[in-house]
Amino acid sequence: MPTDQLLLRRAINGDERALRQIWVEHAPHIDAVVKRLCDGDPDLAADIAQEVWIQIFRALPGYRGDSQFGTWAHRIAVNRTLNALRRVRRLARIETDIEEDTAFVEIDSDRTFLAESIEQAMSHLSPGARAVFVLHDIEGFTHEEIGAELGITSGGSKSQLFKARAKLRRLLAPLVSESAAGMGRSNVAPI
Amino acid sequence: MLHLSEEELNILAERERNRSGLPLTSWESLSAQLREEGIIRGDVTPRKSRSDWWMRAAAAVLLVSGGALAGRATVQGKPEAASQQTVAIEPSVSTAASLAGNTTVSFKSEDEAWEVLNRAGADYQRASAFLAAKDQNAPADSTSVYQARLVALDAMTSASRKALYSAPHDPVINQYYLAAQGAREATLRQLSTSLPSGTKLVKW
Repeated sequence: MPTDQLLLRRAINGDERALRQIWVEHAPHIDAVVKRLCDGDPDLAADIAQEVWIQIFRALPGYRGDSQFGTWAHRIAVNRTLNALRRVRRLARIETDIEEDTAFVEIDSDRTFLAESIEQAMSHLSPGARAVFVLHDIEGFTHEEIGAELGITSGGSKSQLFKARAKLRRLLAPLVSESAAGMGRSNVAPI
Repeated sequence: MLHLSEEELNILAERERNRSGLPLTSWESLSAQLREEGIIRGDVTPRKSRSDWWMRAAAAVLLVSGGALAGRATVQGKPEAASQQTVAIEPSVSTAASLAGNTTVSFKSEDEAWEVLNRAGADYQRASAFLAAKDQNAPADSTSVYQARLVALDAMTSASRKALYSAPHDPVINQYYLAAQGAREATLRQLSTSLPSGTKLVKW
């Protein structure tokens, strides 16, 4: 739903009701983005989400309407979250991880683990592979954009995505329905 | 060993994209910080003081009654037209009467009061547009009159829009803004019909 221009003007002027309405409209999506990138750490995600919203509202006067408000806010959310993760050294781990191409090294427990949801499966990816998968397959970033965000090459991003997807497909095997698998076809079970 | 297909993984990623979990932020903590940083300016929490609401209601009555009176003034000397227009402006007059004349009127909630106020504003706007469109008193050189009116309406729109920046919730300014917009549209329609045959209003 496009955010009304008058509502945005009121928000820029410091109108609490307008600011709150924007938050109500977009918080479910923005908070979900932050949560996904924070790898299941609810306290960290909550802190970063607060920062993200403050940053969105600080940047509001600069919103020119070139893209939908939701898209614009989504970009801020991703940038701010990655910056925050970098600050707490998690992203440094992600970048090193990608650079050294260790993302696909599995610990023993991973070899036998089977996930019941994509969220659970993603938590078993290395930080680098997880970040690339989330940004590309869920948040819709291109490999070039991911490269710029994470300080890696687009080739590195593609490679990580390939590995992340392969691992996820295996971890999520329980979601292939048995009857369909028996017929040589598979379906994603209802979640 | 079984694997999820690429397509199935895409479906799960799509579902994940559209999934929203529990909120991570609360407006209470967020608004406190926004206020500290000066992003929320002033106390714009709806005040429920009696005087505030009386002033707003009084302003709405003035606006709606004024609109009805102005509408009648413009059709003086045109009994036929006036009789037709009486029907059209009836909602405004009756709304005004229900607000101004009936002193026992009461509202069960703020929402109900706002609903009446907004309905009155919408009626006023429709009636203004209707009267402007039906105005038979236009002089022979109606094109120049319409053009002059458009210039004035544009100035009113601009002034009320600027005022909305400092008082975005003010119902009176909102109604003036909407009324000016409605009258502008009606005048544009009139202007396009008053142009010499073969010419067309492309831009204003």
